Amino acid sequence: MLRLIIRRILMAVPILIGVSIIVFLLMSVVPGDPEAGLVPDDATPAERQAIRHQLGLDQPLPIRYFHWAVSALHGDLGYSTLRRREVSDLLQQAWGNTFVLAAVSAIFGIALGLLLGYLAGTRRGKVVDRVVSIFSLGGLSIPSFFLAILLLGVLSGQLRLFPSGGATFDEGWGVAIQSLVLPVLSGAMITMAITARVTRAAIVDVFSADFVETLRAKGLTEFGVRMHVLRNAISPVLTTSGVQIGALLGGSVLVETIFRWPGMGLLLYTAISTRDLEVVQGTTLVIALTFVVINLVVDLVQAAIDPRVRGAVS
Amino acid sequence: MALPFDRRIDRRALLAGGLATAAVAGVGLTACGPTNSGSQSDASATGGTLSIAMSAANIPFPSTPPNQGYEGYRFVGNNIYDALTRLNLDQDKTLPVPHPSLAEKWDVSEDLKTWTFTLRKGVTFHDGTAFNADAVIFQLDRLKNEKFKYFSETDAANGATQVRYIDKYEAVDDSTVKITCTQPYAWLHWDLLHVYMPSPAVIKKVGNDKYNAHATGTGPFKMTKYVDGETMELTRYDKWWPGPVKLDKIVLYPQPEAASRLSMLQSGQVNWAEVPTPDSIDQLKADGDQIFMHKYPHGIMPRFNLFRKPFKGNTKLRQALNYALDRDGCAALINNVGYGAKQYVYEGHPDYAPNNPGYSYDVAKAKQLLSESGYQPGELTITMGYTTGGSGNMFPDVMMQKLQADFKAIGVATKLVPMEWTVLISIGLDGLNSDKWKNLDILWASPAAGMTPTGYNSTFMSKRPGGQANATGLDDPVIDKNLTLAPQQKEEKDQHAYLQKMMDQAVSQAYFLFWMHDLNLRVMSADVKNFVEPQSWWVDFSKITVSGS
Repeated sequence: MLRLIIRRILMAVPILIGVSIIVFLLMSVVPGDPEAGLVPDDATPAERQAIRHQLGLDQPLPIRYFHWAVSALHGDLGYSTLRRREVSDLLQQAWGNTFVLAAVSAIFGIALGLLLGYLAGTRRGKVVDRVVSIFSLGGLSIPSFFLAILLLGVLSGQLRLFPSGGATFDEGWGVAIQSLVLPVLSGAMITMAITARVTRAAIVDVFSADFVETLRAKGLTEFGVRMHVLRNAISPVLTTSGVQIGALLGGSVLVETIFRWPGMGLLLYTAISTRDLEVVQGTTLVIALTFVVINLVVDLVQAAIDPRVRGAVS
Repeated sequence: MALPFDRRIDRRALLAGGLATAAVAGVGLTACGPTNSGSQSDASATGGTLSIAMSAANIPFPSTPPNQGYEGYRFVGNNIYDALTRLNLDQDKTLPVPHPSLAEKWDVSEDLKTWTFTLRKGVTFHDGTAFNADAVIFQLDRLKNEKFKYFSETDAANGATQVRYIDKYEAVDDSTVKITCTQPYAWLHWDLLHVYMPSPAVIKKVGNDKYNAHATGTGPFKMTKYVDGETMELTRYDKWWPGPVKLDKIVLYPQPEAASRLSMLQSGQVNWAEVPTPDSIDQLKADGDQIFMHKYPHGIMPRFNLFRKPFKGNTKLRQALNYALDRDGCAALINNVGYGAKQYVYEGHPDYAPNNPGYSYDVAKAKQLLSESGYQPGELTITMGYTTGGSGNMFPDVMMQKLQADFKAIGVATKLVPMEWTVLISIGLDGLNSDKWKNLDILWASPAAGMTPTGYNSTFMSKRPGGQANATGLDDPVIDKNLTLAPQQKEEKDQHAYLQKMMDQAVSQAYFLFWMHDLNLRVMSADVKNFVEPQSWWVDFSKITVSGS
């Protein structure tokens, strides 16, 4: 197990370096200058040059990357001149907000997906299976932004059942929970649909395995058989859930924008559109790191509950 | 029914407002300048809480100047701060012009180079320190003096336009400041509208980098809460020099999505939403909400690339495209929240050229001019860059599709190049003759057309102060002459006369696509009272109340 952890941590290093280089290069080739948001539209060349110098944009690209990377290694992700705040402060605030949204969305989406997938898989070909299939297909097919606007218009705008968004934790947990409902419903739908479909497929697959008949032949109760099936089917569900949790923690740009949820997705979207290079770099690095950590955790959990995975690792 | 998240009923705000009211009840109101004469608030009134869904993607920085363009000035700057001058925004009949604010009067020398401002006495910042001539010099040093300890590179960069014509400045005494301009310049009081006065004591204490979290001015509201990216709360400053405003609080929320702003209003989270979707107007009216639309200095006036063919030296081609625009059709597509433009500024604006009718919708004439310009139908394909969004850009996608169809009707194909707002700004800074952008023939532009006379320079002049890029290659001696002479006139009517000649020339030569004027669509719930929509990007909050609060 320790080998697995060390190996995955070492693998993360080139991933993070690669991501940061790619993002750095991409941001340097997209049109639009980083100083455009800092100077008036009639700025003189001298005024532009002064602010470019302050931002370090007059340095060659490799030098700029080197400086950024060295600072990042020391835990300093830089200062956003556009936002006038330390990037780490911005990330801390945004990641916290996204974490809350992602955690609730993941719990809701995965739990409901598991339940629906289990019901469908254990009742293959029956009405429940068909209903769940249609429901999960719908969940996959409806874009999250469309669902978000629909929920916003009906449940918030017309029926006034829920607020239209915003992370309002400072106004008490009651308001915060209300504020969470619509973004969670929008963000969790895809997670629920994917989890339901993967769970169903895995359960159907395991049910057809020879060992299930053996268990029944040994006289195990149907409940006991299903528990064995579920344990054997959980591995692909875990892998999928890991990816889903990683995606949720990365922040959904559209859902966070529509519901004014100040998380990683909204931060990244704003930073890209304003060419706030330091924030784009810091945000993508943290998102990549989040994916790496989540995948590592998923692997460890898989290894802990599935001896086949444990064997493969060792 | 008051839902838990319904901010329209806020007992704490009511209580706070009541306490604040009691605190000032025995204090006489300070002297009132001409801008606010007759607009003193009744200190015993509780004006409620006004919650606003802005179209900006973030809360504008409460810096001096703020960011997020004029939305930052409108909601944050003008509420936290005062400048030496302030627009008379409490009326909707005329274009607002500078009036005394922190400067109670000024004198201009005969050569229009030296301005002497007499400052208002007894004004205090929100931190209790006194406003005086030293505070003015402190702020000008922050923006212009690179050797000053508290020089702010970011504020200096962002506010460069407004102090460009200032050469020297000095405090004559505690309440007199003398400013010398680089040239005869009758528009300094327009520039100074944008130069807000922050508390020197606060900046000395927290520094420029941390100032935003502690923003302190002399304006009608104190910043009492600021969460970057989420919200800002502004609370009435009871010692504001004209007397306290009526509202207890303003709460700002950023929301760039129009559909989301609409839901915020409908759900009662806010009672003011900027630019809802045009197709929601009927529903909003039916719900009892108040729709506000009024002409103001804002238009969509795309600019031709005059550095090269096909538009350089081809007036007839530019005119042909102007005649090809079905402006009424475009207005109908956006539910008439804008209207067709005859000139760069709207009819009734003091710089509107009185004897120039502009361009009507005339396909036959457009085709004729196209032919006379050297191009036959089907021969010409033009490339137009436009922004897909951004505050103050109306509804680009639907408008561009209409424009494309209009040009196609006379045989001109249009290749549309969508781009982010940041890119459009970059193009303006680089110029259409730069290697990166020289493939563009027309560029989207959404100017605050005529809000201040100083704004014309960057669009119309061939050579600009400090070597700013001439973004489109516009180089017309008639325009240059009139725009040079206008700020050298002491009398406003003479300034406008020169600017009218400039407009006349710009229209006759068709240097722009004179397309649409915006009507400044915004919606408020029925409980918002006494709002006046001025002919400006900025608004006056001093008389507004929220009756349900």
